[in-house]
Amino acid sequence: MYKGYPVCALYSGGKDSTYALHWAFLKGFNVKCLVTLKPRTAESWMFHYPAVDVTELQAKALGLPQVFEHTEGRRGSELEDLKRALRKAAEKYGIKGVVTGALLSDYQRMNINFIAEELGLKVYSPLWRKDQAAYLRELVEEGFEFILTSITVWGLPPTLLGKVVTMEDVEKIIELADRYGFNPAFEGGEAETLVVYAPLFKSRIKVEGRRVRLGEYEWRLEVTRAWLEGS
Amino acid sequence: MAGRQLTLKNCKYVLVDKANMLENVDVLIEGDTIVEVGKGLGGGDELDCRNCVVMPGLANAHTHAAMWIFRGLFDREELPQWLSAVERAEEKLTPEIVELASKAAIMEMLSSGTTLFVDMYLYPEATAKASSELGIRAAMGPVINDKVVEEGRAEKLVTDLLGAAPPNVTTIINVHTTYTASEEALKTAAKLSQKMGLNLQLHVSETRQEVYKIKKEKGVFPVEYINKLGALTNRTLLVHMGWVTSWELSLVKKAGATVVHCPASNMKLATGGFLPLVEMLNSGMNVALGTDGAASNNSLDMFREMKTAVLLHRNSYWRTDIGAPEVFEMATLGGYRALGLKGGRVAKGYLADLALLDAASPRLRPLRRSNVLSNLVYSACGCDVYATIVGGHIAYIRNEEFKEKISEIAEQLEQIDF
Repeated sequence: MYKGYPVCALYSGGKDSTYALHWAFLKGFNVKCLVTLKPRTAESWMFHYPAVDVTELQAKALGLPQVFEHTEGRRGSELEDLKRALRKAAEKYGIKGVVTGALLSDYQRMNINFIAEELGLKVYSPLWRKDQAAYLRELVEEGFEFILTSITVWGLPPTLLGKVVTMEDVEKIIELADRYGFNPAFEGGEAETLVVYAPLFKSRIKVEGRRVRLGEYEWRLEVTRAWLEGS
Repeated sequence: MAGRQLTLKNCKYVLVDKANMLENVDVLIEGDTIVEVGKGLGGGDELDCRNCVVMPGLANAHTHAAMWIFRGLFDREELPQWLSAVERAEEKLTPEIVELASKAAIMEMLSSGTTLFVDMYLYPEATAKASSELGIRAAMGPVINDKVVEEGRAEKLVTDLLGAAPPNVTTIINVHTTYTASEEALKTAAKLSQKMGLNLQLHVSETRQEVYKIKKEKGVFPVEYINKLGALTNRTLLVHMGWVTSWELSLVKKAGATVVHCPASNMKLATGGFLPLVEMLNSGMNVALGTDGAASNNSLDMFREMKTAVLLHRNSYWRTDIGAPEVFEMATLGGYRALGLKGGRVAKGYLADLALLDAASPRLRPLRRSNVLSNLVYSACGCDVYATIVGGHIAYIRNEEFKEKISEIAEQLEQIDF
């Protein structure tokens, strides 16, 4: 039986990489593994820091193996870390392509592509240049449940931290994005998200945590406990 | 300009441009220019157009006409392998073969409503001769490469072609691409373009491999690179651009350069990428449409190309921002604008470069004022063209003789094995 083109999903646990992964399944790709980079600093240009550890639970919920690689999160060196991770995935799982959740950042898209070029891998970025507000609505409509794990922009209320985003919240976020001039899908890093349930998850992820204020309008959800529902 | 008159009488519909439509009007042409569009006009020869949709002629803003000879030979290869295969086949080409293959391509283009094409290929003088003989409007020029520059022949090649160019042929300067031409060759081409006031056409940001190579070797992205070398101006035609980045777009916009989109060729050669057409058009950039050569498309039909462009961008963006009006303008005004020609509209003072479509074709029916443009883009094909007028002359009219002439040329070219 034809199993589809073998790819890995560059996976941060946030809404974009989870949606891209689902797209890949729906398109008939053979998603062999998740590739996750764990930043040691909170200032990564490329990868999510908050709650990245929860990706292990997400991998379990998806029933997919995961390739981890640590990164210092410094511009430049993290690309080497990513290259190492993708090489590992290619060697171990025979992947020929990478699925990414890149939305609008050419820095992110082109850097991933340059690494993939060196490794002879194709890159698929299904969310590239999609309408951000429409995408946000679709996510919720299609059953993706996600919470905000950090806020770094003026205008987003901290009450959204740790709460599963509803359609009502989506409309509020779109309105606030318009009013305060930020990207509604948080492409500029205005907030980080964590998916707690998606159509391909076999079980829901439960998260407990507390809100920590880091600055005038900077907040973070410190995850104190996370587990798979029913486990 | 006074000259021979031709009147298109009782045109069922005249699609002036993407937004304007006239019904049951006449189009009066004098010399190479449209002098009036309205009712009750007459003068000179008359063409009965009561069963015609008259539209601006299509501008194929990027092709390699003589590659007609390679149609259907290299269909599986990705671009780098495809280029190698084509280069091997090109060893058999002579100016005579290029002229003959150009003729076949031009006849095909004329018969599908194309009135202007921008070419890049070997032996441009042979393609210029074919263009002149068949009465199509064209732009072409020598390809400036390292060899030509080292031998100090670049300027002479351009001036020779310029001196010999027939009236319908505009001389331009071609550079294959950023990674096959040296910095010196690119600078020379840029200087010649500036000095002689000629358009400069080059393939840019077509593949990921190209962008990777330029970034690694030059430290910048391809559009930044050509900008640095002085090759990005309002006379530049940037062909492909599927791997352009957002920060390069502002350079293109600032320079006033034209982007030429070749969706079918890009998809067939699996170059990936994503030409940000919505962002380009929203910024007011001039974007034109091209088929690329028959070896990579494999069609030269601009009607198909318009539809393909819409489909690609709707599929890529998951939105319907790009539709018939946008691609129609790219395929008409966009190409003429790129060359600084006043064409691409059916209006007073514009070049009389027109395509007349058979309104009775089932692909154009049901035909109502409200769906003319839609039917042209989404349903019609080049085979629905009844006549093509270039500079006031009827360059093509549907008949058996034209078909036989193409067939004769094809038979000669089919004797060559590749």
